[in-house]
Amino acid sequence: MSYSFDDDKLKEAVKKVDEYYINSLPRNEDIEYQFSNKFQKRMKKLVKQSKKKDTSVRTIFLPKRIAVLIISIFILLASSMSVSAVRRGVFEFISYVYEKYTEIIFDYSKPITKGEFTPFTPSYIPEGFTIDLEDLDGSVYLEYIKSDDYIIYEQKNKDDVASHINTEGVEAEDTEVNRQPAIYYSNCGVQNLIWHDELYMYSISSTLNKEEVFRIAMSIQQ
Amino acid sequence: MLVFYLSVIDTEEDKTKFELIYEQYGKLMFYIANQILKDQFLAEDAVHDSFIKIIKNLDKIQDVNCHKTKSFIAIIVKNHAINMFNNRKRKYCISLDEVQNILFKDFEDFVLENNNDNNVNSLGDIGKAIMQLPTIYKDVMILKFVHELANPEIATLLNINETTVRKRIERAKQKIQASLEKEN
Repeated sequence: MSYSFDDDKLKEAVKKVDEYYINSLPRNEDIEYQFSNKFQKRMKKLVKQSKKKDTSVRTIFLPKRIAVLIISIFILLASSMSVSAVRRGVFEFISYVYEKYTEIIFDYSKPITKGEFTPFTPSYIPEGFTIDLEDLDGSVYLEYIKSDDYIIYEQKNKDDVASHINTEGVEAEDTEVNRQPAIYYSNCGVQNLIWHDELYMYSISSTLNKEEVFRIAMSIQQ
Repeated sequence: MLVFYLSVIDTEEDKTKFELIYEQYGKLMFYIANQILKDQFLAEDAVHDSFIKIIKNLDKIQDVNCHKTKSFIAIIVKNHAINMFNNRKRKYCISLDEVQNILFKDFEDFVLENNNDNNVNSLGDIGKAIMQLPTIYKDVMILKFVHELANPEIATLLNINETTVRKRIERAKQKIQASLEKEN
């Protein structure tokens, strides 16, 4: 028997579940715990920082446009300092830095020839992972899971790319995958690798370590 | 690479809000983190780091005392503690996948047993199907439908990318549908 539901029904149900779960939690005042002195000092510092206008947390506050301008200047300087193939390739990534995330799009100064989409998938996936989600319709999205670890692989046409990545306090590393320009960064336990060729952008996000992420990426032969 | 430290602590109202949140939810946050990490010092670290995340998301908190705020804070600290647990597991090369499954299941069961009403039936068929979803799907659904956050905001909050958010929502809907069809 088919059972259908719309977003309104779903929203109502999610709200009920959330209330049920939150009502199951104990009240703050009923929890008997004395925070350590170290913790209290750290929190005092954090509260103090939040009271100051010019604090280390708020080192630089830049309007979005200025941030975009600065990152663009940085990329221009970086590209002029190096003539390596990787650097020139990476320069095609244009990053718009917003308050909490970065948007990656491509420089379309060179026209992209769009033909039939050809999927490329990894021939190596670490043992024990099973495919949880597979979408090969016009782009590739594969999600593999093993307990709480996951691997997400994507392949998209370059002109479909508008990727938002969390880049708070993150240092990105210019690198390459199968001789193609790539960016690698790690954030809060999740390793991310993005690379591209003439037609497609590829990305892997995973809770696995850097070596494994690169090994998966290298197994995708275009 | 340039590192931008961007903060949203802009108004007097927000400063008060932050202190109120600390007073009203600090211990609860510790309780949630400690249920996952089983280590008081690590749990304190998780609470501290979660507060840094909260500072950056103060604009999403309107009323400190409401249910929505409690839910938002619970999701932040829970996800941070889970990330810490995963990182720690990798660092010490311990195979704790099974243990972890049991641990999180225990946590959810423990929390739900504490519910005085303890009446899952009041949630309806869809609600019961949502209850069966893994935490990673459930939290994204709550942030989307209860907190009405956009996909990039959810992605930033949970340190995942936007496509993952979109796919988890799709996947959650598929799982709910499958669960409902199975029940019927």
